[in-house]
Amino acid sequence: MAFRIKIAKELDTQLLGRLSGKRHFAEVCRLLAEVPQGDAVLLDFQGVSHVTASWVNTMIGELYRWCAQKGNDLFPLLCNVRDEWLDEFQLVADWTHQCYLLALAPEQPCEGARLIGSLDTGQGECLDAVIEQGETTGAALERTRAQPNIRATAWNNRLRDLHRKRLLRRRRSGRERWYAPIVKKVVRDG
Amino acid sequence: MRQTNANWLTVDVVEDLQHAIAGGKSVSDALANLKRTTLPGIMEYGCLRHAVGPKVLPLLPEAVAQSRLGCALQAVKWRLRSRNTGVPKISLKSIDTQSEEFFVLEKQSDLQQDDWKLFAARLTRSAEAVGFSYDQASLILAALIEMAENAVIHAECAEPRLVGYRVMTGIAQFCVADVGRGVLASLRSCLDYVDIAHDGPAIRKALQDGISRYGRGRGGFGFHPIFKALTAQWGRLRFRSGGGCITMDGTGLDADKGQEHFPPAMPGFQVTVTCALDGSPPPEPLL
Repeated sequence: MAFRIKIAKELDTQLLGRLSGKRHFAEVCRLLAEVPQGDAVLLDFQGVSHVTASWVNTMIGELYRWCAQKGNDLFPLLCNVRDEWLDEFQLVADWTHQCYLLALAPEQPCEGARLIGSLDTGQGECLDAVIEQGETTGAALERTRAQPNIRATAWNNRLRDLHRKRLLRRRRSGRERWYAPIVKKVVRDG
Repeated sequence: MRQTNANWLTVDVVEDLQHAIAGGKSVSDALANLKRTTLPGIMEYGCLRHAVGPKVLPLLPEAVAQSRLGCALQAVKWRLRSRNTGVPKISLKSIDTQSEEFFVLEKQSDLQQDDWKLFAARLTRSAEAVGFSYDQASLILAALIEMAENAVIHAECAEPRLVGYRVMTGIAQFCVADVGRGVLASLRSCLDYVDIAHDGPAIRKALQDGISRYGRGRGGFGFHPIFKALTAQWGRLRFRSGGGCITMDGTGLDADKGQEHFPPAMPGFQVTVTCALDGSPPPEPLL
């Protein structure tokens, strides 16, 4: 169960400009202060009327960086994002190399999501593999997804990148790092 | 002096005044003929007066100061304004629609104040009152907020920034003006853009997504809403900074294809955004 933040209620219905974005980022950090590490956080845009790229960059962009920090380790999901705002999110994702997961069903956000932002071929392949296997390691992927010249280290690098992008959870067990998907299904554009 | 739009203080007239001042000519005759003003005209006049000094550029004639825009400007405390004839300050605590209005921004925190929010609400409602849908009016507001933030964040000058809007049937226009360091100096403060040498190319660069003095992709998304607001409308954009000026219309929102001309240098950045619901000619000069 993801911790849900109702943006329209907690922040504003018009999400315009970088200064509002900065203020809202601080407010969301306050709301997330007691959410346990490793949890998913659902940012619900229900009731929001307008969003601009400047706001996305200063609020969502900063929030993803903050969530990726060691002491926070949270996994944002977005829901009820209207189609006409998608180019604002896409624009920021392209420039910042971030990826955003848009929940397909707001009431069951972890069931499936649409991916905004691009992954390179290797990262995309790796994400698909983790979603298929549920939880895995780089060594396991080397075995199950045998490819010439792709060893465990390369898989681990891809897994680490996807973790930094907040697309995979990570836990340590002994000397191994295990990675698990945030959502059960990811729809990628293109 | 150009005779088009005779008696109107337009941006062309402001440029003519600049040329006359630079040539050591008197501007009193030209000013005496002015009766009415456009929104960017009166705002750029204030910027020019700041640049050349009040002894060189006198107060606007009484007729212009008493026009609707002149009176609206007198209702705010802007040091660069052209004349104060004692027009009583209008109390604008409500969200009643206005046909024109100005707001002075001194610092970033002004953008979080209730007065600014009410001003923004009045702009949205005023645009709706002249025929724009709520979504269209909100996009215009988004564009205005981005430009106002730009002015407050990037201008780096002591003088406050002036924001103004006006609406008439099927037309909404806003203008944001500052007398700060301008787009070229702002961009060149970032190592990514030190190679830009002229105002025109600097404006074109700044209009692109992801470009700001903080570096590539670290901000610089502010013009996106403007272009979005204009995509489906008969709009016109004018960006003036230093000795560069780029104009674009809603049919070609590519900064590289915007028309450039070279007005005399003026400090700061002046942005005028005009949105129209159709392509019919405006009832009066807009620029």
